[in-house]
Amino acid sequence: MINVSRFFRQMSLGRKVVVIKLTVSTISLLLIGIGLLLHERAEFERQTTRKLTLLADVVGLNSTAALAFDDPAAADETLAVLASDEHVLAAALYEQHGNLFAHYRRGDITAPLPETMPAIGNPTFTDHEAAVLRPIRLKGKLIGHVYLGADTDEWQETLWAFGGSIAVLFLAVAAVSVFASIWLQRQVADPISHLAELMRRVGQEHDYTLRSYQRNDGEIGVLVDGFNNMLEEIGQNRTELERTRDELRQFNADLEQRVAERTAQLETANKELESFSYSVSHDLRAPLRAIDGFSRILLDEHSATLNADGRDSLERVRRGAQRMGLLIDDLLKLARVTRAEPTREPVDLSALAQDIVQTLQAQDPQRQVRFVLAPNLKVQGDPRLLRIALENLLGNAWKFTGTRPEAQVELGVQSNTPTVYFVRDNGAGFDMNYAGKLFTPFQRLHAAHEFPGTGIGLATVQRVMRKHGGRIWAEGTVDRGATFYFTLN
Amino acid sequence: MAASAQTPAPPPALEYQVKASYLYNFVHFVSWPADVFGDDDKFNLCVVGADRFGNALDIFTGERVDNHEIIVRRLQQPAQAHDARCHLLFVAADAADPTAIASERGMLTVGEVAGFLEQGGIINLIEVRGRIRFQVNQQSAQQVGLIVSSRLLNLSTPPP
Repeated sequence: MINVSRFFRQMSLGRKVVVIKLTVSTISLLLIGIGLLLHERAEFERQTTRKLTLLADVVGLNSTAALAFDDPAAADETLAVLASDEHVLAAALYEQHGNLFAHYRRGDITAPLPETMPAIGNPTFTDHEAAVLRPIRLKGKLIGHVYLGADTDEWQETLWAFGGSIAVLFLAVAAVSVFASIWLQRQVADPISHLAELMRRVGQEHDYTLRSYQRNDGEIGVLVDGFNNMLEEIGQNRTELERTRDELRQFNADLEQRVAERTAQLETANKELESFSYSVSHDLRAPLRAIDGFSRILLDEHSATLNADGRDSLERVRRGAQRMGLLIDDLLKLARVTRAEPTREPVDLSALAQDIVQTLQAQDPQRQVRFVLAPNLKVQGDPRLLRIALENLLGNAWKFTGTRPEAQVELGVQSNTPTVYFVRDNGAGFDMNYAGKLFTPFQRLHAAHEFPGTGIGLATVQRVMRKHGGRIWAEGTVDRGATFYFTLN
Repeated sequence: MAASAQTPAPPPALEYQVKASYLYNFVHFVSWPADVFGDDDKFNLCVVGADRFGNALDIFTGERVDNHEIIVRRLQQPAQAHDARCHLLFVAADAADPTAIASERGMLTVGEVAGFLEQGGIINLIEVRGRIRFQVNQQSAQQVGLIVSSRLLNLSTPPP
């Protein structure tokens, strides 16, 4: 069955039509034939029964006198009339007790008739014979039976004629099927095959200018037109797509070139700016040292000649000079961090932090700050840069917890993969709305008189983290403390 | 008659059993004019002469022929046939004058001696090669208004 269905699927449309048509026609013809044959058979039996019954009754009626007056010879004569019907094989009269009284046999029949009346149905049809057994009555009284047997040659003839008709019909249907398939092949299958071939060529050669030039109305025509339209559409889309792609490619190339150019320009500008700021910072030091030095000499050695106003002004000059010195230091540090190429070596963050904390405590022994430092924080990085970063973070924490009676600063690990470190304090905190400005140079969230600073520290820290392939961000609440998170590559 | 009533009649000879059935069967192949039946509508089957039928005829008593009930009557002489309104009269061989039977309208006369037909009888039973056969005088039948079936005529032995 699977083979048959596969075989069927591989057939051409025309052949399929022939097979389907022939199958349907054959089944129809067979069904009709069987139906007609059954009907014919029933009709034949009905007619035969009627004929034989009539014949038997006539014979019986004509034999009543012979039976009544016990004259078998006369009965034989009566039966002999049956010779005029070639289909009657044999006939017999049985008297009322069932004994054979008279009989007739067709010339070619040799089998004797039974001596006693056979018990057969009325009518009886066997393979080649039909028989009836009719009673003979005289004024209502049963005086005997007549048996009549006939051949069914007429049925055989009918069968042959029928078979012949069916065969002729079948041939006619087959011929019509073949013609129909040829016609269909021309009308449907050929255009479709042509279309399929065209599709194959389009698929292989990507030539969207190919067209089907078939004249056809109806569905096939619609199909061909649709196919042509589709090719047209695809061709247009493809052309457009290719143009867009080329444009995009050109645009991309332009863009890359521009980016490269800009990047180079930026790098140059950045380097120039860095060396500029470095040299400016560096060069600012010498005049500042002069201002600081000479203002100190003036204060130390000539304070007696100055009045209170003069001394106050001089003090202000000195504070300004010192503050400017700090600024220059931080700027130089930032510049150094920016210019430096970080090394990679094992660094113990815990030990580094401990060292910085000791320095902080030594600078201001009055303050009581609780430090919680996680042990054994080992990283890979540049120890100099990491020290600068931790100095800034811990220094900030130290600075902004200045007003807290129970200050606490923490260094630890928040989470792993990637490892996120944090420095947390319970100091002044900040407003999260300004979190974005924390790492911008010279941006300060607190007034200088409240917490002194240059506004460069966190910018420096951010550069250190970036140099290490990491990043830094912060969370905080005003008066509730701040937490700085950072990652290192 | 008295003797036969007291002692069972001996079974009739085969010949008369056959003849009795022939008499009964003739009735089926002959048509009578409707007006010969009386108010009682009986069919009178009469026998005249020595009765050798035993009970072979009596078994037909009460049978119906075209709705006419058969009554078997035994007559002393043929002259009684008119009064008895016989529809069938069998004249035995030993009747007083078995051939001298007056024709009666609507009466089928059956005899069993030679010359019966020549004297106006309608059917005569004869023996042909050991079998009982019969001859029919169709002309006589027509004269008394009887129609004999062709089937019976076909079966009959041609008259001499």
